[in-house]
Amino acid sequence: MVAIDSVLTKRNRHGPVGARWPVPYLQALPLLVILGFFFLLPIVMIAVVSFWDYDFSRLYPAFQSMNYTDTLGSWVTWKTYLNTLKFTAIVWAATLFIGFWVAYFLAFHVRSAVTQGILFLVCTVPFLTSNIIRMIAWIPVLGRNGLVNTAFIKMGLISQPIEWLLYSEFAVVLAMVHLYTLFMVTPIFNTLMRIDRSLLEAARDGGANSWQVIWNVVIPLAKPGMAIGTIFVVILVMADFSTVQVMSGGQSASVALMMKNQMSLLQYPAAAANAVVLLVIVLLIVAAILRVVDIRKEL
Amino acid sequence: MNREKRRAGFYVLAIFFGVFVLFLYGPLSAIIVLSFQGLDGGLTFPLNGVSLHWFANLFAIQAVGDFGASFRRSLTLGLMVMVVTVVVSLLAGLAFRRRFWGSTALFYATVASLVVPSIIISLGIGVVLPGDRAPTGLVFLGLWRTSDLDLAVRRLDYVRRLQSFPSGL
Repeated sequence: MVAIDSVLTKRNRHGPVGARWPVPYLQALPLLVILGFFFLLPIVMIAVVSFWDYDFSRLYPAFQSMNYTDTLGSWVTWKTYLNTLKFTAIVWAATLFIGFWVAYFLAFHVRSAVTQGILFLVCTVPFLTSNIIRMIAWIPVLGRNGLVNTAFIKMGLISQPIEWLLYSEFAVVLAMVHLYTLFMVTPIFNTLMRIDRSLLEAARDGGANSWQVIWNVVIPLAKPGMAIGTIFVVILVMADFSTVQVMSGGQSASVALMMKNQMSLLQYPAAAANAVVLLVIVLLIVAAILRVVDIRKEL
Repeated sequence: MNREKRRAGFYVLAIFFGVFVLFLYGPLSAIIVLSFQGLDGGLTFPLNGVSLHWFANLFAIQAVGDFGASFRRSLTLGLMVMVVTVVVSLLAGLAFRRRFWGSTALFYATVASLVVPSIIISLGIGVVLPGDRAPTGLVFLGLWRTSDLDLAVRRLDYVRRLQSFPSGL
């Protein structure tokens, strides 16, 4: 079967019999148009506009570096970038830890494929609702008179409601972990399912204990999945403004939130300069991940 | 896997998984319970009586927002996006079965479009198509008012995201 597949793909790669030359171009055209208009053009325009001049009402085409010097010369910007990176690091670590163990449990401890499917579905269903709903859902839980505070007071653990549960950096991180963990679980689960079970048996026969099997066999083989999950989570957190805005109650900032505020003040060039810097940072992180881990097999 | 007896690790991980599921569903179920809140209750526990008041409120005519119309718009938008996504992805998937000039570049552009944060694309589209300047040149999007246009464009962002999957297979 595999042999037939590879023969088919090989023949297709070199053009199957009877296919006229314009056919693939016509088929790829819609994708090309969409990518051109909604991906390449916007990015080029951002790069161009980031050098423009502006006042409160309009933009002036120009070539000046003021937007960059303004934004990079201010310590508020640096603090915002550091804050965003801090959120990214914490959320990444938390989602990787939770994601790996959830995926590991599903892949290796659940024995029947049906149970596996059901449990995986159970994890997926909440992610079919919108981000905003899942964020707002935390408010009655974490609020001053929320579930957690009420329960703790009733149990006599605390006498005053804990103030930092909602509208704090803790709330932002918690909501982000809640929003984004599935993006880590799914790719890791996929790679774990592809691990040849005889490798684990061989390791055990060779005298490895469970920890050594996990550390020396499972984790190295799960790295591509972890890398893909990491890329998803890093991008989502770095580009997030709604979670930061809602869950911090306006007390915390992220780069995307700063950009959004600049956009609402019609300071497009300033936002564009930030966008370019953010894009460069994200691409550097992605490039660094791809240097360490080869994900080509997973694509 | 193996038919040996469950080890301690299994129970630890099973509890971990259970807590994770509780973490996923807890807040959502709180919201569902609170939607039956009584007339003078807010977004807090305990419930101040049980009622369907807030559901009735949702469908009633309000000063701000119109649930029925927004819902219809979302539905139409979803259908449009679904059709566009399926057609474009299917065609692209068929195209990628063969090698053609520029196929590698197009494939990497598709993957790259997944990697670029959405706010950057939104900003770029905002620059290309300013919301207050009506002529957009995009006839099929011109069916929508400018405020919807922004949403439609953002949905197209998802279209791009989804496309890489069929082509990747």
